[in-house]
Amino acid sequence: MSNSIQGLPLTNVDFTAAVNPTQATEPSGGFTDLLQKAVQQVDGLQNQAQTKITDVVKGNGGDLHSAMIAVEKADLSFQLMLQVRNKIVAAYQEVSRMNF
Amino acid sequence: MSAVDTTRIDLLEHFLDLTSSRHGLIAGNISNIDTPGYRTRDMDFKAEVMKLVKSPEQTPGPVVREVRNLMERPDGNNVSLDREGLLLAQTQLQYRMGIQLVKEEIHRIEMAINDGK
Amino acid sequence: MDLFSILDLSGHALTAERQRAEVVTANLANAETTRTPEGGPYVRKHVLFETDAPGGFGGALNSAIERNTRGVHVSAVVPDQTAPIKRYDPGHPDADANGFVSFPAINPTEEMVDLMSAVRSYQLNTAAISATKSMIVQSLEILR
Repeated sequence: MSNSIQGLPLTNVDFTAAVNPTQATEPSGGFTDLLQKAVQQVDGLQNQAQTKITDVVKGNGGDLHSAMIAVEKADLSFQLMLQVRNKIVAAYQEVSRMNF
Repeated sequence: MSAVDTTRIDLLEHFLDLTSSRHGLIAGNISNIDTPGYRTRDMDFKAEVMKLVKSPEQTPGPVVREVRNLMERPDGNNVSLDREGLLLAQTQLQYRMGIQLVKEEIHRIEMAINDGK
Repeated sequence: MDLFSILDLSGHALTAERQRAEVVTANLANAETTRTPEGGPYVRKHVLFETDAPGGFGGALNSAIERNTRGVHVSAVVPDQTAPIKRYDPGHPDADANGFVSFPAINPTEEMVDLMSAVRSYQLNTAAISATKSMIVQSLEILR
């Protein structure tokens, strides 16, 4: 999917409210980066959640509420990434429908 | 890059940390209610929460001190059944409130991400 | 300190109070025991409670919280040094040469008060366990 979007001159794609607004109008070429960063963030948060859960289960003194919150953060970040991807795909499809 | 704004969640997580830490102190006081010479310990909860609100990022652990003005028994123990029992209930409720607020904040962010779906 | 460790802490306190109750109950049961396998009347015992050393429940000693959240344990079961009570009863099988029988220096009222106190402390620690348990359950609710 990312291969087909690369290099596409898209601007003014509207992201959701939770997204940092200064990034909303970043032009093309940035999309693969954007998605990669989103994936990295999700990855990072999921690893954190995993560590915290392990701490709790092994009895290393990890707080249960911290582990639960870390899981939710990872989940939210994942959902955001999904939405970003969906918007990118939708924008691409819309452009590809245009007749030049 | 696009990121989820977790400032409120982080603040709430620290609040939950404080509450569960205080709960530990209370449980410790209760467990030592019959120990000769044991002095009740606690934190200034209000002050610690204010500290949290003012600078959410780097808060070192809360300050724990011996509690003043408690009646002392002949063996030196000053743990009050009433005080600890009351605080036990109170802290439990505060924790529950914190959890509720975390859930609501998560839900709110979720709605924002998913366009209200 | 995490909730599971706090659960442990209260659990150990319950153990300590239970041991105390056992010793007091033994005193009550043996208040009139004039003869024991060791010879002589039953010797009253009591428990010594001692605060745990810091950090006994896992977790580093980095913070004031870790250093100040301490549990309790019974450090020793101590025999009472009080001399036995002597009553004059020459007909008693355990009477000595002068007709005196040695009875344990146990005051049943005192022991009852001690037992009631142990029960109350036990209840308070049980309340702490309930609270901790409910907080753990609530934490899980974050995940819906």
